[in-house]
Amino acid sequence: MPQPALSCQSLACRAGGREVVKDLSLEVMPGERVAIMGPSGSGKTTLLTTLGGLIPPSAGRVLVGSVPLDGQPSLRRNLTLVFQSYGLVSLLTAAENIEVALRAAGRPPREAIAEAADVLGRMRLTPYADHLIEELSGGQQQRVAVARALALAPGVILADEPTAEQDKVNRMLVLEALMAAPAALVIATHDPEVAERCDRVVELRSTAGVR
Amino acid sequence: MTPAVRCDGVVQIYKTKEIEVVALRDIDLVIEEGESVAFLGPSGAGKSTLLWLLAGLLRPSAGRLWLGTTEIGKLGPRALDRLRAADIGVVLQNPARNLIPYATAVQNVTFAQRAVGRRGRRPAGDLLDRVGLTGVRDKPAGRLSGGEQQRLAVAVALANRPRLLLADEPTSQLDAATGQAVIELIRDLGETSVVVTHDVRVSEATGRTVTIRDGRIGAEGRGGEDFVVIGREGAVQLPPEYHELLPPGSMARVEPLPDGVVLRRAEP
Amino acid sequence: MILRGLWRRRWLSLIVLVVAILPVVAGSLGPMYTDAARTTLLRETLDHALLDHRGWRVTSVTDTAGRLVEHVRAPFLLPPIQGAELLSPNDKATKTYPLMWVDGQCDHVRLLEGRCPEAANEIMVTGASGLKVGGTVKLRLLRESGSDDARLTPLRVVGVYETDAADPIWYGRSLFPQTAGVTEGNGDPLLTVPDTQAKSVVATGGVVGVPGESWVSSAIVYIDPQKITGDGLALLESIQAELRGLGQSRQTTTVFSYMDDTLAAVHRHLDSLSVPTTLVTLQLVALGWLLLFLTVRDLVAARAQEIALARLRGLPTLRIWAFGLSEPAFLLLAALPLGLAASFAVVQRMSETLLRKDLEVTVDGFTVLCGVAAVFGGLLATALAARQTVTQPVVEQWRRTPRAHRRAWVVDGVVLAITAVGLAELVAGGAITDTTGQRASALVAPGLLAVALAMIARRILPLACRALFRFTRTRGNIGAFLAMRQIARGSATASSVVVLAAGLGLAVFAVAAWSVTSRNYQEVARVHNGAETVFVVARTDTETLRKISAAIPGTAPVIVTPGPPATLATDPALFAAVALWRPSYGNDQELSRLVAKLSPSAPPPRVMLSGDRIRAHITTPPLPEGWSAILYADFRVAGETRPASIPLARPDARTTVHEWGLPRGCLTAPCELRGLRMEVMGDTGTNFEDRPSGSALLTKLEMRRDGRWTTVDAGLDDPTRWTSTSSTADGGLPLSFDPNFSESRPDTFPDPMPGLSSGTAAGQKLPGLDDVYFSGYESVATTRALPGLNAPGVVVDLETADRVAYGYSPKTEFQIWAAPGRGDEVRDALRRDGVPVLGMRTLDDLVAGYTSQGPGLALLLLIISAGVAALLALGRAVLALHAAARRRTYEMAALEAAGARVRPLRVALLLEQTITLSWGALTGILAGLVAAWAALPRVPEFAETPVTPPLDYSLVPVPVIAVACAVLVLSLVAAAVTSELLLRGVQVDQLREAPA
Repeated sequence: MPQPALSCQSLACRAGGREVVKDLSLEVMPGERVAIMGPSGSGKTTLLTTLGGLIPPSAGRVLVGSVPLDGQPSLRRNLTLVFQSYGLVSLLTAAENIEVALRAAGRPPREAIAEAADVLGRMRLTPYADHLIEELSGGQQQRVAVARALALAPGVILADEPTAEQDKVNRMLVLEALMAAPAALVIATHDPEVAERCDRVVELRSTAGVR
Repeated sequence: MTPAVRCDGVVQIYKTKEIEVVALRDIDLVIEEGESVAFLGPSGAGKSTLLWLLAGLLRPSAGRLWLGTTEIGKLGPRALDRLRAADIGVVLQNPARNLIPYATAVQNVTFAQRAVGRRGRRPAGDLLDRVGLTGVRDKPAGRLSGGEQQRLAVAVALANRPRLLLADEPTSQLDAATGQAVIELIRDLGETSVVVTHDVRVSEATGRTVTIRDGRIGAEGRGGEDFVVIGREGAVQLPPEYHELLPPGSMARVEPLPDGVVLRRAEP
Repeated sequence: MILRGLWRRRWLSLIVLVVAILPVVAGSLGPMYTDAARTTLLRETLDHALLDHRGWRVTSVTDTAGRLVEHVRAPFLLPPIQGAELLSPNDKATKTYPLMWVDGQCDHVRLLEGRCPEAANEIMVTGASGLKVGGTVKLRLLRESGSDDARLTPLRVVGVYETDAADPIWYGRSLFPQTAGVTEGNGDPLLTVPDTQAKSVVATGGVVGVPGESWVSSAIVYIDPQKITGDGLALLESIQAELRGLGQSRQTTTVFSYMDDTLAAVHRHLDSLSVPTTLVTLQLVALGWLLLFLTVRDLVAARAQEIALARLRGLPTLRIWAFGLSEPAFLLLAALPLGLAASFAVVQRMSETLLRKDLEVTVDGFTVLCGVAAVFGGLLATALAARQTVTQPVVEQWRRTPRAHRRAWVVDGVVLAITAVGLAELVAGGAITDTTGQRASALVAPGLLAVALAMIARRILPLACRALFRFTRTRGNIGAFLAMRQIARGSATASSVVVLAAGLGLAVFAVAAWSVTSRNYQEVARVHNGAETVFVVARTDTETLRKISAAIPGTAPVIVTPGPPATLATDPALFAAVALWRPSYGNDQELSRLVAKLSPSAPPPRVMLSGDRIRAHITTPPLPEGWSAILYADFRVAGETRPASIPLARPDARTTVHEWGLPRGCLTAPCELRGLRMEVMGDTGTNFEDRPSGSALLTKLEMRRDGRWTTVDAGLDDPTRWTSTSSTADGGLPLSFDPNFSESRPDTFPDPMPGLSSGTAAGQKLPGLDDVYFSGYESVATTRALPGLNAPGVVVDLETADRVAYGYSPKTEFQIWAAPGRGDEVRDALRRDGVPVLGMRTLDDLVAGYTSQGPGLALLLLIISAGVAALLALGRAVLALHAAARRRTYEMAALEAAGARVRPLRVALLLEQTITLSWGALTGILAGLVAAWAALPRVPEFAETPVTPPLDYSLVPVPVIAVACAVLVLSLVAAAVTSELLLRGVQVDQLREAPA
């Protein structure tokens, strides 16, 4: 039986003093697409950041493959997060943002430059490659964030509302690109279109639970 | 009856670091009193620019713009301020941006009312009731949830009895249920409103949609049906769903019909 | 609501408050400090003034002096010390005594025997007077009341006293010559009670009221330095004018005072204080405004959203401005009282440690006004800073694509142009001839230079980083990649560089200026004082001075006559042992070697006579018909400054022995024969060609003393002892009739005198100890400076100078110099030997004096406040970088989450901070050094620039290097600490929130 790319067992997460996720157990297989839905404030972001290993869970644990995530920052490099607020470096250009992420992951500089150009092209961002992030519109920035995640080609992509800013055309673009990636995908969204294209939907209620 | 909003050949050009960008060209638009319109279109197409023009925050590079009987382009800065204070209410995209976070809900409403004499104001309590925020009136705005903040923003926008309500992507940062609630609120208010959005549910809730693509009004939707708008000098924007049949950049023959034309692909 | 907004941005608000305090402090510090300094100057000048320079002695022969000065009142005047004095010879006319009484005299003397006089006609005397308790003294002018023929009042001696001649009650007059060992002249005062004056009559030769033959009433009014403040200066001047007028308008009233000199000195110092202090204050206030501008810009920018919201809601422009400025204005207003309080505390501290301990610092109206002006300027700076945020189109706030904006080259260009012109003027000498203004304006140099260089530097840094973009893109680690881009594109870079460069430029300049100035103060004090401690003693004569010095090891006798050219007469060997010398003054030679050439090896003995008559044996050839001759003899008489001449003889062929009376002074003390002159006269009708030729021969000189004649050892037949040109084979001194050779003098001194000169033009003559007969000198060596001389002058041998002079001018100052380290011992020894010390000057006193002059105080102010300002600038720069970086910690967190290791992030932060801070620091240091090189020679250091020694403006490397290193180290430490804090602040929690 193949190993799940990402799994959590009896996960509980706290945010702002209250528990937003209680006793969640989940398995995501490699290449699987999982949508996490729920009203705003229900803890989607918290869940994603916990799954991404950025904050410790208040109970339970997260495993990447079969290795627990706690205290192993190197494992995080197999996960990439696309943040709701993009998390891009505003004083760098779009291309530089991707290059720096790639180089941080260990690619040699020239390869990084080439790969960045390539992924930006796939996101229809080539004319904006040398614009500073702070000069791009919200939708464009979001696409750069997605491009960054795709370029890193990790085993698992955790994306928080990756299409919120996009109009119809670009929404498709982003979705297609995400779906085309070989990584396991966990997408937090409130867009039913996105949920449609996923293999599974996990719904979070405000009282925290799983369905 | 005078329309609430009228645009006549509005053009907007701005300069960035390297180039001049034509954000809007030849916009002709009429919005009647009480109508609520959604502006749709890809990002960067000029929807927000048109909104700012309607709010008096930008001056059109060319063309004329009326709000009721007032031609906005002819007003001086002070008059524009007064216009914005008394006649226009604006709701911005990011809920937090609409409010002063450390002021309470009531204080936010009264802050916006400072610009206008007593007669022009609606009582703050009434407004908060109307948007369903009576319970949190003394809570600092920064501590309200996203949905509550956006509703408060609507209340603030209405504080001075405006003739026109403008909203820029009011639901993009909200989840489905809350977004829906805000939309319904705007719709139920009955004011003339213009909402910029790319949320499909919003466009479904408003009576009329205007699609702006590439700086022009390309299409309109009324009552659920989409129409293509023939612009000045006959420009027509083909909606994306037809791009397969008639790819952009290809040539087509125009065949006249009694009530219009037919476009047929021309094989090279 | 303002308070809540401030609380929300509390750290930024706190920073703005602190920065707002700076201009208020700078603005109010100046006036308060100037006030304190003014008072200090006044008090210091008065403290160090001689007794007769800080008070008045009003005397009158007709009125009671006390009543004359009654109406002169001021809080700083001590009650007048009244007294009266009658100068009269005793009944045998052997000695003239001052009979006097002074208020409170009994408390200012020590009784050796007997008691203080209480009843009329009782007196007390000094030990040196030789009078005994129980004895009686009668004075010629004092008669019992009654007719003019009444008997002389017998004055009974009831006590023997001794006193300190320098006690203020004596007003610095030389009243005690007998105690000082001077045998001729007046006796020591006979102290009595006022009743004596009341109950007796002065026998006058003629009209009552003639000065010198009646009681002179006096009142001494002193200024209490502890009670005078800077504001009292005007009152002091009016009092001086009034008293001077009193003395001039009445013939019978005389006012003795050197207060004019004191006031002139005070004014000189004050004038040299205000301009430099103002310039320093202005620069610091400007720096404060710059800091405020930058910091408020951040505060307002943090509110940009709220401001945009207000504009969106249609609030009118004025209200928008009020809204936007409300928070910074509130902070500024809060800064006013805080700043004034801080200023007060600082000035108090400064005045305690640097000025005087007895000052009361007050906050007066003018100071508050300055504080308000600083706040007002701050408001303007705030408005400027807020302008961009408040007036930018609302839509800009939400738009992503920034508009193209004009670069502010205009401002840069203007500042650079002003600086270039200013520098050129400084270095090249300037066309403005107003010396004080031009020189003080050199203090503006550091500010201008710092700003100009900062403006250049802030443009260079991003450009340099940009140049490295390609390099870091393809090579190296991502730390450098990130850092280069952050610096080149970041918003905090420019302001940090400017602020740091400006603040540090001022500070480095201040350190350089202060170290150079301190060094100059030391050097000038060394030269002007001459020795480590100099004691000013009563003016007596050379022999007495020598004896005083000989009795105390480690001292040198010195007599200084002011010139020009100044003369310093001293014992060369003792001088060389005691004086502070640097070989660089005199071509790297030791002083002992230079002065060795001053004393003649074996000077011939002087020709001294004493007695009442002189006899000369002269053999004269027959004179032609109608011609006669007179031989004059010139004597130096003790106690006088002019030679006394007697017509010794009328030489003719028939008479050999000629006799005449010696000058009166030769009776009481030996007088010196200084020259013989033969004058030849012809009756009318004689021809010039017939005048006598040849010479008479003086074979013997005798003097009569107490009735007995003794031969004078004049060496008449010794050619080495006389300067006449003819040979002396004839056993006597030829006295030629030829007018060209008619003078002979004992060859007791070389003519011209050998002297060690500095800065004097060759061919000038020295005034000599008597300041009457100018004598030539021959320079044995020229030096750049001479110990003890503050003007171009000459050092000569004391003995030689004494032989040249005929007496001692009142302008001379008799000094005893103490060797380094022996100041206290010598002082005690002098006191033990009963030598009245009129004043004492130490090296430290002089240095302290320079420091408390105007320019010194201004520089003190500069260095202290520049130091604080520099620290604030560094703090501001670090905080700005920190704040800018903090907004990016969220991005850093995301980058870390995307896989970046912490180390490159740390490197990026560290590099960014280090490079920016170091660049700013280096620019500041460079600016400070250049300003020091260009402007220091023109910055006034003394109220009156000393003529000698030449001032050295080469930079003292150690303090400047120390400060530069300290600053760089501080910057690096700040960068490291900030980076660490930032990294720790990289919380992934932040990733949850959307950015505002």
